[in-house]
Amino acid sequence: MELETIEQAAHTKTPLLTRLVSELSRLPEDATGDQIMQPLRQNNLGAVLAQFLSAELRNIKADPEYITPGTDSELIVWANDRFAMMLRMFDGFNEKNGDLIAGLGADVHVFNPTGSRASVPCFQESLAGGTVEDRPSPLRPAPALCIPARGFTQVAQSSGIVPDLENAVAKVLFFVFSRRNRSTVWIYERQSLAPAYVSATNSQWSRVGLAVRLFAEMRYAPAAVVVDNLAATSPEHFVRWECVRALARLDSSLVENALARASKDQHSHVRRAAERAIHNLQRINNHAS
Amino acid sequence: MPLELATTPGAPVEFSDYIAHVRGEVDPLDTDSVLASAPMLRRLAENRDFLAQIMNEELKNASRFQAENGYSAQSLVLHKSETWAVRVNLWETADRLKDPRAFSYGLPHDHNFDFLTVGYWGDGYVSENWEYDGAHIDGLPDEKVALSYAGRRTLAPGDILFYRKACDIHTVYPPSRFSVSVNMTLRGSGYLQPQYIFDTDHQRVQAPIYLQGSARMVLEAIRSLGNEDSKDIVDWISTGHPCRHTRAAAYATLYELEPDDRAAQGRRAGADGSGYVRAMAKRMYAG
Repeated sequence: MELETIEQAAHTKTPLLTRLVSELSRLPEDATGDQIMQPLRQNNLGAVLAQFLSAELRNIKADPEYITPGTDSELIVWANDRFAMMLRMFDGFNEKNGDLIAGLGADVHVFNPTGSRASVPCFQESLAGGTVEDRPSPLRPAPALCIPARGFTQVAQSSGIVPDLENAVAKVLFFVFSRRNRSTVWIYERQSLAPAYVSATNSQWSRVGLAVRLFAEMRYAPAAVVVDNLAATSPEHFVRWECVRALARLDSSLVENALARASKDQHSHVRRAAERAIHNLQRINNHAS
Repeated sequence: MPLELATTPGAPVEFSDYIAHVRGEVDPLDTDSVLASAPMLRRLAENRDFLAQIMNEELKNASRFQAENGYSAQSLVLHKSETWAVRVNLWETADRLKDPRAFSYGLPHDHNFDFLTVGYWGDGYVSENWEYDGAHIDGLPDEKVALSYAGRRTLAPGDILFYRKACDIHTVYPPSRFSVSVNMTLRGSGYLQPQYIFDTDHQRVQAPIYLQGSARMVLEAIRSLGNEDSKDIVDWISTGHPCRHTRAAAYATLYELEPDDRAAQGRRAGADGSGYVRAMAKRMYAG
């Protein structure tokens, strides 16, 4: 199906969502949190989501194998390069969410579209991830954590958040992620606040990283050009560094430039790793001479 | 234990030749026909470049890399049709694991589809295996299930195994070297049923694994965000959907959306052909 036709079909089935997306898409690249919030506040999110879900139900009725995009605990309502909107569920089969805190390296806007009471404690996470500060007190005082009705939100940039929906009637929250600050997602144990695991903000780039690793393992030299390009252009820092590592196995003549570029990378992890690698190479060279 | 298929190395084939062979010679709905194609999968695995070549081409447009792939990051989809697909799984080593969950390591699970797999690269993942009879369980949480231990196995390069849906259970452990397996997956009947995680120590079903963004999740969200437009469709799904878990989820949604109609819902659910739906309904409507 042509893109225009898909968009027309989406508009027919979910005009409220289409209008919201259109308003978000018109925002400038460097939109502030308040600017992003404006269309989200002005639209009736309950109605937007009900219409989206009804359209999904019709798809399921028409094709029993139809799969709504998402993960095992969320439905992706809309996603493009700048925004991801998703419904997250914290009930029934997804109880595991309650044990974990997600440290999301993005601007996060949290809504309770059902209007039931729920609280979202926030914990201050270090910018680099891997540690949660202000333990054990939540960053924000309790009254400000409540989500009393439609449209209330808070921006949780570089914070670990975990909704506490013990007393909520509906255990569904609507998240809007602004991808200006792409990064990895750190997950912490709720009780100990110890890091449990880390993953990418999206599986797409994790998959790219693994493909690059495959090239390196197979020493597939023809991929050096693509890998060198990704080392400079991937929006995810862990992919950029994976590429630098891979180049050492694919085409050693590209490594020096790649390391020099990585030592000026925008992400501190890449810069530090590159500096260590350059230092080690110098030691080896000195030793050899 | 999954079926072990003895093959001998043959001349490497191109990926396009493998696809043409399956299209022309294999009936994906006939297990014997699929098993007979194992030597051709082995010959594909003898081709040491085909996978890297495909990935290299796709990564020239990295932002669209595997854009239609709905699986977790470790899986690459190379070909997909109505009844079968070619999927590659990448297996990370323990020392480089950031997120063991991303590779489903350490979780005893079955599959809701048959698949033929061949070790392609590395030492191969290690698996511990059990067998059970999926036809005789309802899939309820904590349901007792008879498991028979079937040993430990490493999928070395060239090894071919056939995993049977709702029969073979395995727990996968990281390989000692980065490894790759190539699968021919089959979408026969039962594809809509969930996979399960098992508690092998206590011989019980631990939890179902649902498809990403499944119908069940839409129904769960509808419970609190539904409108008038949704009720009729949920009603249809509760009786007309082929997946028992989806029908049960539809009843749970109707329970919230139409509280005045619970008696009739309970009667309908109690007459469902699936023991799972009947048992879930009994819990819900009796309470």
